[in-house]
Amino acid sequence: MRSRVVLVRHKDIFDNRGRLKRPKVTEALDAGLKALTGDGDSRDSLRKLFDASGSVALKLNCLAGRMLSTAPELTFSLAEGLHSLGVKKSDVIIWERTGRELASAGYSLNTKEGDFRVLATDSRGVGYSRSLFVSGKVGSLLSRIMTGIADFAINMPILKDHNLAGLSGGMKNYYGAIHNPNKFHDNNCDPYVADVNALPDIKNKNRLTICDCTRVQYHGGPGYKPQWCEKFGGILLSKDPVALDRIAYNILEELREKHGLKTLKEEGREPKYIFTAGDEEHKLGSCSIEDIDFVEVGLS
Amino acid sequence: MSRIDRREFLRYGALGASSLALSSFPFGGKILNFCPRAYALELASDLSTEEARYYKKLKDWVVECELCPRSCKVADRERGYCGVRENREGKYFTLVYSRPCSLNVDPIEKKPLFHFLPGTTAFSMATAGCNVNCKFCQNWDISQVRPEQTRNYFLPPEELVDLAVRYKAPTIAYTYSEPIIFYEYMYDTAKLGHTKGIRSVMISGGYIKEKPLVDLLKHLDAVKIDLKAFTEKYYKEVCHGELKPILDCLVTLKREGIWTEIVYLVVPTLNDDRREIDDMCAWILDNLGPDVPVHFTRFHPMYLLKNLPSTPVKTLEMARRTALKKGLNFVYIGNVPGHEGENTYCPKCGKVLIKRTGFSILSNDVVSGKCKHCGKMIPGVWS
Ligand code: SF4
Repeated sequence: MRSRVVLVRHKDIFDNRGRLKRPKVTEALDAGLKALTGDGDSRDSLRKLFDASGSVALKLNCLAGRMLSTAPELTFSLAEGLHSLGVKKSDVIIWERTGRELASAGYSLNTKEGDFRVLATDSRGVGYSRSLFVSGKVGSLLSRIMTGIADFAINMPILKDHNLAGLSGGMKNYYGAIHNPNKFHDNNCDPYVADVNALPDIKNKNRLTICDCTRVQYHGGPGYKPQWCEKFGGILLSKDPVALDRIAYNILEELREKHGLKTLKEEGREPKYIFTAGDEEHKLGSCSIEDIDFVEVGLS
Repeated sequence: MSRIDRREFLRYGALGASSLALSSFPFGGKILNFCPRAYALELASDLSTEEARYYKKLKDWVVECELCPRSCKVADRERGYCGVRENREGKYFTLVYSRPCSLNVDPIEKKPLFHFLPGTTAFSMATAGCNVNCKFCQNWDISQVRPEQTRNYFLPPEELVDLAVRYKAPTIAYTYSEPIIFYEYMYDTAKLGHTKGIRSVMISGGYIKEKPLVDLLKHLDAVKIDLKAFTEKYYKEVCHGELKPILDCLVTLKREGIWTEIVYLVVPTLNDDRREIDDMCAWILDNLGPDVPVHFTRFHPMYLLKNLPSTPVKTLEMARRTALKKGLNFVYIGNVPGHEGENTYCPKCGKVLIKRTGFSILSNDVVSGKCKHCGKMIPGVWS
């Protein structure tokens, strides 16, 4: 089956001080979801992916601070969208590995009844699974948000260069769900990223990836380096995590070429894990451009 | 053995404000036989920001760690493989300085060090983290996690040394996880310990670069090295490490003249081939001499290696016979309490010198470093 990846770019998504305009972000998200599923209403798009009586975990990427993390404007637009189709606010769990990282990206921990929950694995009462989960070369404890608290998941990474993995997009973001990501950076994170994403609680619960490409760090990642960060004004969406990363890889290389940088392969940082994730052993999605319908939507 | 649980600790510990969300920590805070009433320990409210001592700065805020042969190149906000060293805007920090997660008073035999102050205790400690990932690790719940996933105490070197003094332990043992990754803490504690008459022993996998090792040895009194196998294949596939740097480390220890013992965990089907053991013993004989004690210890299914049986005792006996035949003088069997291979025998007269069972000494006939029966000098640190 062919996989669809949608890139929405909005020309008017930043205000003149470089801040995201929430209504425009919502507009872009809405357009992206509709283009992804072909529905006339983005709520119908989401409804197809989740049972609204369940809880949905939104995995952010907040490692690099406010300028290069999943934007709250996008996160809360999606959270409102989920709520509008019947998911209880407290069943929308916005999460990262630590409260410190969330705070650095502009999120406040929140467990108030009736609000969207903002949680970290290191929040009181959360933590990691007691038992190890093994997949290929990976043996890890998993955040209890993925093993016990959430019924479904949406991955909400950002797109950036990574000094070891090559690319940090959708699949790499789930390194934030395991207790020992530092063990899995050798060989450009291959096959470890694929192995982590093959863990049943990730593979089966993750229904959608929405990658925040409003700012893309095309070099010098994973930390924020303003000199290599482009206001790209985009959102990338797919149900297929491998296909999304494959398109993200192209976007990153195009930006690198535009700025006169070597390719990731030339730098010895090709994100091989994307192809491993699509191989016969992992079968996590489509890694071949020929098998991907790439849809671009422009808004202004 | 009295284990302090969290409630007891709160009752007896001198706790200041601790902002750690303890309920989210699956592991750590292991204080096994350490009396809470006698000493008030403070929980650490954060990780340390002590600058690492062996690293170089590369461009664009990337650093290269120069502590162990892994030579991690770490970007801003990322950590090295061991999980306890973090790059913050081009400066590298150890996160575990003064932050132990495990404290025990152990018999020195438990390390095991059989030729080092037998019958004494070692104040034993560890922080979270390790620079390899052995599939059989028995302490993986502290070695394979990050320091924010363990319950850590705030225990600066002076207080750690003070604890050893109070508990009348002549030695501090850096152990359980991998002390190399808390190098700065170990170094400062060992150095300070010597000024107060407390010795220091490192219980390690030996995966360290030469310069930091040689610097550290000035303040250590003995080292135990886990030589996990004698093939690169095993090190790569089972430990995510390398053999060559461990052999280099052993040669450095010999050259620097520090008391060293070797442990070889015999894992069924993976490193129990007689020829491999024979090759290893030949290497030890050639490079370290016949007097380095070698302990063949029994594997039990653990962590990521649960599909193998415990090592048959006859395999351990085969390994011991092989080593003795090769010409090594002090060869032991470990994790088989009551086995005759736990005893020390005089290589000259063959009499039992130190009779052990488990971690207990039943008799000791080493007098002033010599065999009581024939007068042969027995290598080790006896007083
Ligand atoms: S000590 Fe840690 S950070 Fe340094 S090279 Fe070794 S594993 Fe990497």
